Amino acid sequence: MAIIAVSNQKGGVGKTTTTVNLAGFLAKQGRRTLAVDLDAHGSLTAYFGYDVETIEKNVYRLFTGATQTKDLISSTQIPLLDILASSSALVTLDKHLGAQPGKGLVLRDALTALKQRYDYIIVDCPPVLGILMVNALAACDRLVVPVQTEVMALRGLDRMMHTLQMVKQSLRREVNTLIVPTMYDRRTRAGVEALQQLRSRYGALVWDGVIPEDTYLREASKNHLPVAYMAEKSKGALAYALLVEHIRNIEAIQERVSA
Amino acid sequence: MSDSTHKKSLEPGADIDDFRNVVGDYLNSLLAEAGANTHNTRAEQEKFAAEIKHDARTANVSRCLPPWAQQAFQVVRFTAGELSMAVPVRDMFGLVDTGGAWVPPRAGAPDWWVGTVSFQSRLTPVIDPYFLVLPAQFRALAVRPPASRITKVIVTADGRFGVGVDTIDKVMTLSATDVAWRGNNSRRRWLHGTVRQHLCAILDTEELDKLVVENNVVV
Repeated sequence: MAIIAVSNQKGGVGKTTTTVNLAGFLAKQGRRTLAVDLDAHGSLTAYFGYDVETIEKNVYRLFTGATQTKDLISSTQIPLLDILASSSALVTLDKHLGAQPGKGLVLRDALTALKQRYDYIIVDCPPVLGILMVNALAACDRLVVPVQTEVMALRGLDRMMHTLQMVKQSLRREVNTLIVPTMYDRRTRAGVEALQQLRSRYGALVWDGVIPEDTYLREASKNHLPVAYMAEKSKGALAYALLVEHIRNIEAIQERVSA
Repeated sequence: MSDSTHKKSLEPGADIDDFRNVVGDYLNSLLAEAGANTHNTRAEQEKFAAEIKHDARTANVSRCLPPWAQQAFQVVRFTAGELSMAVPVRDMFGLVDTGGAWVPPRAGAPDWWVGTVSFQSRLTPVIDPYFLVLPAQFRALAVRPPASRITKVIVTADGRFGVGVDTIDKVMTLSATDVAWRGNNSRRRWLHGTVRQHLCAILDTEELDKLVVENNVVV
């Protein structure tokens, strides 16, 4: 089982779209996949037709204890893809739990219990540094950082990478990181320049491909489907297919090295 | 991040270091393993680091102990020519099977630049650590030229170059005292040191990166 966190401290950069489509492609390829929504706004939860105000099986309960993780999982309309939904109560977690020792490892321990059930777990993170983001970073084997290809988003990325550095120091381990340029519009000079800046500043941490602006991604969202299930040949779908392939290639390399 | 149990909080007029300390303490507390030998506060971490350094000194370890070696770390051991060498896992960026497909280096390039391989759709120069170590007069006598010996490339330095290896052996977990760290005046500054038990040299990829730049090993 591999756990992939999708995180950036800036909102609106394509975190939920990336989570949905990574999870969707993996499920379509026959991988048992769980999507986890750690954002109290519940965009991912809503994507799959659930309401964060009313859904009883939700991730908040992991932090209050007494419930087994498997009992908090809901199915989606996509075969092999389940969801651990968000709850609006998540906004209270930092206040209730603060910096209690070990509370950053709750998700890691909970997801480890699902090892036999899933091949991949994709975690959609909130856009703020707090107990939920720390839980996601501590739980993940790999971090995907979507970055909108515009200059302001690059500043947000610097902040995210600094946060990641601090979390790595506390975890005392590396976190494999892949920066994914999103919402790329090659027709605009601003987009092209932002992509160049991103590659020159972060080098090989940046995925070679890009997720383009694509109306099909928005259409898929409206239809509550991963784009692969609605417009498989669209630019957006092809880009996410390449991203999944890239991630699986890296995994294969790392498995060979550690074998 | 507000909590009354928090060990530190920001005062008015706090500077960036105060902020980092507060965030660092917050993260250390959240990520403390239950029952594990953790060092939650900055003071405890510093004490821990000092203890490690002290242990290292008493074992005749020089001052060139990289900061990441203050905790347990992993290296990938491999063979290059007749040598056993290693790269810290934290420095690894990828692995390429050469498949015998090399783009030769430009004329006049240093002989430890073996050539170039394709990695993630880019051309990555590959250096031969064996030739780097081998005295110049012996390089011409090497039975097998690097390009025929090297089967894999460990890509490092965020993909800027790769280290050619004959065969990959295994991943080893080490502590600072397992290694004889190089001194400040070492001629081979691109070696971190030698694993005592295995006589295996650990490559310093940051210094190798500088060497690559100095020698204009670029494609």
